[in-house]
Amino acid sequence: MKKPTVLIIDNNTAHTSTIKSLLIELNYPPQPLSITHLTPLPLYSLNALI
Amino acid sequence: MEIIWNNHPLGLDLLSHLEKESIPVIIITNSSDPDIYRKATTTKTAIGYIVKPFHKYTLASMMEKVLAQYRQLATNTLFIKGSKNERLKLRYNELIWIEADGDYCHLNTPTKRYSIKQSMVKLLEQLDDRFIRIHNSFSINSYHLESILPSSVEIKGQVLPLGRTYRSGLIEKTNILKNRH
Repeated sequence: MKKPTVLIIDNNTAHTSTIKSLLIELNYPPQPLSITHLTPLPLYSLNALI
Repeated sequence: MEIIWNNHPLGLDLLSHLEKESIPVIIITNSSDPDIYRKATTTKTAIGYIVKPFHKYTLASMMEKVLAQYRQLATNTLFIKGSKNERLKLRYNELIWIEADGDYCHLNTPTKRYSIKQSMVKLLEQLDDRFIRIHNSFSINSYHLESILPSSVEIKGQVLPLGRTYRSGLIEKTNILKNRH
């Protein structure tokens, strides 16, 4: 089974980093992919990621 | 995912997009606005709604829910790219037979046919053991198999060729599957 990927989408870098650290501490594989956007994430950017 | 961006609930649009793609989402937000909560949690894709600040175990319990849903989906579902580059969810029980055609595979359901760029070998690795190869160019969902003839099989009213080298393997595997049920 393909491993799930975690995307963290937030407009605040500090919040994204905190959630990423928590997921690592809680041992959720694989390494979460951290994404921060200050403006709304364009759908084409999201499509490239999922 | 945060739902409030630049003081606006712009994440709701993104949420509806993720819903179309069947991607599970945990909302982690600063907003305790009941209207935002209601709109976000009525989508099928939102598994949980956490208001910041939160304890790490709140996040952990939500992650368990998401992973449980993911495992359920991943064990019975194949995601393929549609003709408009959209992700389509195809349940294993909808998939009746597969035809290999060069670098492509044609996936046949009772009503539609989808083509994906993938070899038969790679595709069968992703699927479970109900899918059995019956010919160099054909594999079938054995749950829908109706009869095995000397050089063909009948599946959902369709007659497909049965390769000589695959015949004994098909009979053996279908017996194992029958005994398991």
